[in-house]
Amino acid sequence: MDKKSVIPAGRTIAKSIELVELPADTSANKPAFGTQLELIQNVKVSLSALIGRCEMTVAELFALKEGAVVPLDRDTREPVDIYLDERLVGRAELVVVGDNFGLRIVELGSQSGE
Amino acid sequence: MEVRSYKLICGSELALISERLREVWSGWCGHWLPGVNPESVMCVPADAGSNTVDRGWQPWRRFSSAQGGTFSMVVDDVLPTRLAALAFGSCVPQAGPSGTGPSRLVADLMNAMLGDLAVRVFQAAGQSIASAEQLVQEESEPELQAWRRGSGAACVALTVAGKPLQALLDGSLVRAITRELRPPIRSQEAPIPRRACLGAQRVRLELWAGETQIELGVLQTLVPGDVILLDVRISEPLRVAIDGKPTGRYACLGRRGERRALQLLPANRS
Repeated sequence: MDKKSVIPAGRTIAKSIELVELPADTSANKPAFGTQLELIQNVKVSLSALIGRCEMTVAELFALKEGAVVPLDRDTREPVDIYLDERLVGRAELVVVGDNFGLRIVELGSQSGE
Repeated sequence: MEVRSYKLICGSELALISERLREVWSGWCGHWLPGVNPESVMCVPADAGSNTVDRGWQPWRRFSSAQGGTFSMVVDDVLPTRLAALAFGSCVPQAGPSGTGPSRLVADLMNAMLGDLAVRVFQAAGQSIASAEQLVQEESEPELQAWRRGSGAACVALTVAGKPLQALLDGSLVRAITRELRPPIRSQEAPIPRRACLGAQRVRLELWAGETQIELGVLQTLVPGDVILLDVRISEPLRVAIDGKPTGRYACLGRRGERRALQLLPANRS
């Protein structure tokens, strides 16, 4: 906090805030924000890439040992799934970018209807 | 949140309650109303959809037993004089000294008659009640929940001289009367330990390649061919999840034939 914004005790009179009771909700038909995507364009979301999965029983899961190899449901040539908050939004080829994994986008859900 | 048992009274239970109360009603009428033949005994579940009892503004008298159960009766204004007239004809003064309202003698007579009826009902339920003094009497309605579906309570209409005496047996009293109908407890198969039941449940083991934070504005502009950089190095292990939830375990990515495959890493490398 800026030191200038600190007022020592007793130097000023600080008043409590009393909130005014708001009138009843008077929502009009006109949307307040509409669908202006520019309002949310800086919001950050998390994209994740699912390489593959394997369905098994709990008994089989608990029987897995360290070092166990588990075949997944995807062919090596198939794309991986891209998820946004647990929802599938596209598919991509798994690539290497420098030292990191990367995704080269193959398919994305359309923008309409979002 | 309220938790209550849910008991629907079946036909055989209603029949048994009717039979037991018919015996009670017959014995009671024989004792108090000699020469008057008891009439029908109708029994229905007490839930509001089954009975036709007009509960509005009806004065009730409730008898409770320390051994469990309550027996309630509608005691309207005319009941004392009606019972007295049935029992003794015109021998008992119907009105009090002032000429208005029933005489004290009539009221006492009715109290004794209803108390005895309650005693007989509790005895039919197998309780060792010898006199009405062993019961708690209240001028109050049955518990509200008695009228709910599944309360296990039963309404009975005990009719004599063409008019019914409306009564209610709560769930506890009904259970006691119908005890003999309950199936004996058979030796049942012991439940399987819960953990053993889990074994057959199916789960999905997933391998995730990492993630990246991206602005929604950028997401809108992405097109096929664009490349997104993930936060995992190719030398690092990949996250293993079960049904989307992180497990804290990691694996390396490889293949088995044409299939992608994962190899689980020891915990110290996870």
